[in-house]
Amino acid sequence: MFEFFPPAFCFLSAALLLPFIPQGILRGLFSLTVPVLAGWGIWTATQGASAQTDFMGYTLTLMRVDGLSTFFGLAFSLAAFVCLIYAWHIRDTVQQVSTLLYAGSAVGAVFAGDLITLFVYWEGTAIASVFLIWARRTQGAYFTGLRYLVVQIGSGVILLAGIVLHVNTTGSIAFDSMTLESAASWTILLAFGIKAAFPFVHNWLEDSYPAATITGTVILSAFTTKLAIYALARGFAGTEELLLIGAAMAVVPSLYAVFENDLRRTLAYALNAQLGFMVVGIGIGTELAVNGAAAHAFASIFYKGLLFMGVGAVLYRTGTSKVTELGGLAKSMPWTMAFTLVGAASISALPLFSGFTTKSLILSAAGNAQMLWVWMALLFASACAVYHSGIKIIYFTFFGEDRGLTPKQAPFNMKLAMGITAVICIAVGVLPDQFYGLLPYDVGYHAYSVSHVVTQLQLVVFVVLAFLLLKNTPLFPAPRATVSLDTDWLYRKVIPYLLGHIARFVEHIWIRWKHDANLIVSNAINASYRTHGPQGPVARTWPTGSMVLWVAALLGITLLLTYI
Amino acid sequence: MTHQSPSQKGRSQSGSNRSLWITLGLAVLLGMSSFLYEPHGYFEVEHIKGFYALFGFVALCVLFIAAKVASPLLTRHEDYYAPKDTLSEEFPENQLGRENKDV
Repeated sequence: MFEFFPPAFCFLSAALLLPFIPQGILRGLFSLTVPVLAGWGIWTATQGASAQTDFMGYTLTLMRVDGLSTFFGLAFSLAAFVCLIYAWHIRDTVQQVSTLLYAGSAVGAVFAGDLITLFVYWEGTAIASVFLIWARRTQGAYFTGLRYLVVQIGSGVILLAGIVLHVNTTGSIAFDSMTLESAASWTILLAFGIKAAFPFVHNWLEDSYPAATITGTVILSAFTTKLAIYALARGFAGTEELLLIGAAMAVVPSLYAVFENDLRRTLAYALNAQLGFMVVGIGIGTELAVNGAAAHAFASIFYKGLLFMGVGAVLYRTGTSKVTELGGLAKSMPWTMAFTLVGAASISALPLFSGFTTKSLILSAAGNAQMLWVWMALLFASACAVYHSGIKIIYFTFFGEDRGLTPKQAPFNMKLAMGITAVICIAVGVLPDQFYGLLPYDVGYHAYSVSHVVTQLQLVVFVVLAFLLLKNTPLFPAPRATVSLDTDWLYRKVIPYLLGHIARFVEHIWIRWKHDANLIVSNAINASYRTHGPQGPVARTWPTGSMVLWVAALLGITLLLTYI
Repeated sequence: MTHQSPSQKGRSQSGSNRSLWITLGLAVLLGMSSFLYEPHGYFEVEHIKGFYALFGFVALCVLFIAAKVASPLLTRHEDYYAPKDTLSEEFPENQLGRENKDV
């Protein structure tokens, strides 16, 4: 069946049908069957290219099934499933439809065997997902959504430009491995880089994700950036330039995640840093490294999703996700705390949790390639993640200063979604061999050695120790009620400021020029009025005597000239 | 902001001290365990005893100092981008399930 009906179509057709199903249990169950059906379709799909169709002289491949696409397709289907449980209580048709369209576009893009199909789904993820931001229905969310859409559509347009150049030089629309030798591949890399939140083009992520609805942020965190990671792994594995980009991505956002006040924005920065690990993995390009990037993308979808879910549940019950307004919720929201703790342990790469078994693949690949500085940068980012995603989220939300908040536990569906996600995080950590079996390449890797367990525990425990020793000292950068200035400052403040000045300057010159031109024209009119007007000398009636005098003078001159 | 009673403060202080002592104990145990096995690593630095412990500790100190220095430059008041930003506005009440625990 799926040779003719790709799994993405399950999501897309369900999105069309959804508004006609009554709100409530029926619609919820209908939504939940979609990722299950799609996941089953992906699991049972035969390897190779299928669902091919002709379009303007090109053959489009809607289903290219191999290890990499199957792995990401399954990850996206599973993520859609837990997200839909988390959003079970939502009665907003806009969000429900856009969730299915968004997940469907992401799954479709993963299986796209050609660049045209990829482009269509690539734009699909952009357009469908913006409604999860606009669904917040506030002025701020409206403007944030516009900024998000400009960047996302921009990425699509750049991708299209790259595809046109690529087809022009190679004559092929196949989406395969590329090398950075032509303008086409650079352009395509830039398009992928925008969605993967490369340095300097990353800020759409931190700007928009925390502006979405509570469930919207969880859903957004799963797909767009991981789709870009898939696209990079498919197209640019082994590209050396990605090493520096990835290392910078892993380190710089960590700094912002420290002093950021909003916990959802903190997690967005942390997500950006985790993407850096994956980009480095792709840059190294060996089978172990690409496996590591894919595995870490999977782990990151779920532990980051779990952290967003935990903070979202707190926001749902208390109305805030800011450090300066939260604290002491351990007693009132114990289940949320327990699940969030699993997410924190996973991102901190504690043994028995997912980050431990996935991050180490990339670090080992960097070690195998003897890339000391890249390895050091990643290790530094790992230590930072223990603080900003582990300690900071848990400490300031559930412990820290008691703000007198006594919210009720999170709703059952949120707890269930967090529970399932927590089980996934633990399963990846406890059963690494089974998990590695799902990865695109077959590489023998053993995560659990005495050395690895002890060294990782040392790293985590000493970060915790440093935090406990420093937290009451002036060195501790306690978050304050502020907004962080990032690259968006350029296009939200500096460029509008400069444009405003340029506009005022041009307006000034225009007014001056107009004034001068008016003056010249009115002077000319006045002058001609003076000579030709009713009182002007030209309009004056001349006496006949003077006329005769002039005629006589002229005749006299003529006579004189005749004789000379 | 709520005011903490002295007993509450005392409790959180003792809880904080307890977690510090437990972490310190764990840290000492893990630090000593470096001497009990032969480390497997890819780089020379990994063979230094307690490298990861030291790295974790120093990394957080560096991160904190960097954040402390950078935050005055890189942060502004919450209303800086208002009204075109969500940080300066309240989360819409109709999308919340604000309920307090039964007393």
